[in-house]
Amino acid sequence: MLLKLPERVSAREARAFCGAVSAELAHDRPRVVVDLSQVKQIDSVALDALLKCMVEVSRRDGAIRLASVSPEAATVLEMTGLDRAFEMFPNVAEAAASFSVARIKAVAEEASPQPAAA
Amino acid sequence: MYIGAILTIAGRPHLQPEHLSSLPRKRLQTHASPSQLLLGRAVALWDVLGKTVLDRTIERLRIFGIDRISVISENSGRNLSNEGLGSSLNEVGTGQSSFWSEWDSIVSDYLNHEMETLLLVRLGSYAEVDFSDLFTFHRQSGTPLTQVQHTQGALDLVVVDGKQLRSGIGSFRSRLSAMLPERSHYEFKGYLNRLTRPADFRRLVGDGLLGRCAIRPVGKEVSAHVWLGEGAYVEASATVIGPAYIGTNSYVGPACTISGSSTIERQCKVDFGTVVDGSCILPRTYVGMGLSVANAIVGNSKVYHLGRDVQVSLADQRLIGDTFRSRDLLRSARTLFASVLSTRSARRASLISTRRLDLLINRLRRHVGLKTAPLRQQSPVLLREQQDEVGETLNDAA
Repeated sequence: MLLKLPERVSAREARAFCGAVSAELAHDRPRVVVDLSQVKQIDSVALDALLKCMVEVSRRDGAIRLASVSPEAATVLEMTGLDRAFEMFPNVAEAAASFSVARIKAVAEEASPQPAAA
Repeated sequence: MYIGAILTIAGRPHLQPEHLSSLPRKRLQTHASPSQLLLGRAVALWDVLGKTVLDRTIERLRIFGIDRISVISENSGRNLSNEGLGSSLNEVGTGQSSFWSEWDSIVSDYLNHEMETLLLVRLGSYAEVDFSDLFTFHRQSGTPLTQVQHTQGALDLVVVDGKQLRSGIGSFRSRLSAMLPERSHYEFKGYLNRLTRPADFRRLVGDGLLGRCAIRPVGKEVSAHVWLGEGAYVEASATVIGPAYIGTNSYVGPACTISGSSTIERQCKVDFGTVVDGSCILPRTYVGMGLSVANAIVGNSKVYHLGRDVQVSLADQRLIGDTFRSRDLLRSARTLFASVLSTRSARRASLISTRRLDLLINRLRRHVGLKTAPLRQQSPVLLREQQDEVGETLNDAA
């Protein structure tokens, strides 16, 4: 699922975002890419919503990836420490590809389980 | 020698109409005219280690012996009386359109008061010019106009003979223009910071902290390279790594870390657990809990990230906000005006007295850190002026 956030992200946009992510939660291992290329302004309510969605998605063994993070959004994410909570990618394609890589890795690990420690 | 100084606060870059293009400001500037706003306000009006560039310049002029100083703003709608300047200054806040007429009237006033020499400065840049040497050079050069020249280019700082300016024809601006071909250049090799970019402002702060320029922090050095302004308080569990400056009445909360030549200017609050590294927190700024502010200039509900060269607006009191805003005071003032002064009958009946309004204005002025004015006599005209004054103060405070 790809979600593109608008230039200004506040409570209303955050609600819309959460609604869209909730629909995705019905699937097993929800995978969400959030495009932040347009974002110029983001407030704490929107950041809270982003974090809550990440928690919900993680509970269902899924992940949220941030893509094309604008310098403005990057500044706010860094300031609030959320840059450490999310994986960020330079563009949407790389963010989407990261899911495939993660999936392949997970499958490979299932196929060849680590030997138990002696 | 009887000297007067006119300081112009540089603001937004101007697009001058064609017919004005030959006038002094344009000609005097040999470099491009960039915006000299930092986070939406003239850079000369932001504190640098406890005092603005404007105040520091005025202080140096007064030490030199110039008492007659006027300050005029290029920014539209800015009334400099709300910027914390000394009350003895001739302060003029103008719109861009009326700037030159105001400037002309100040020059006229100075010349009428028999000023022999005028010093015209555009702030702008921070330059540590030796005024004594400059005026000696001007006197000896025998030219009507002297412009200060640095290796980085000409400065918007000139000395002009009052007598020559008085004798010309047309506006003072055009008379000054006519003198330009005959001007002499004073070579200045001292400290200069153009303050054209936010990074320049940050460099000026760093230079002040490290003693690379004449700017000294306003406060007491409590440990090696750590200065505290009067009434500043740092919680015991907070860490301040010098060089650092915590301004007057500022508060650094528990578990905070201030490092990397950071400055917290006056009346700021840095809340629980926040890390400020390599940054400037401008006056009256609230920095929320648990934040990590690095390589940035923060103030006026905005963050400028120096590394990314980007400004972000954060109208969010949980992250970045103002400390001085008192909702109660503003609400009571607004209510007073809405209920009492909005109706014509109420105005006619003068339900509210000049004295009561003056008291309110003084409360507001005290609140935003300005000197209070004496109470005035009752007058309907004054009452209307007072309404405007309170309106402006409320707008500034809001």
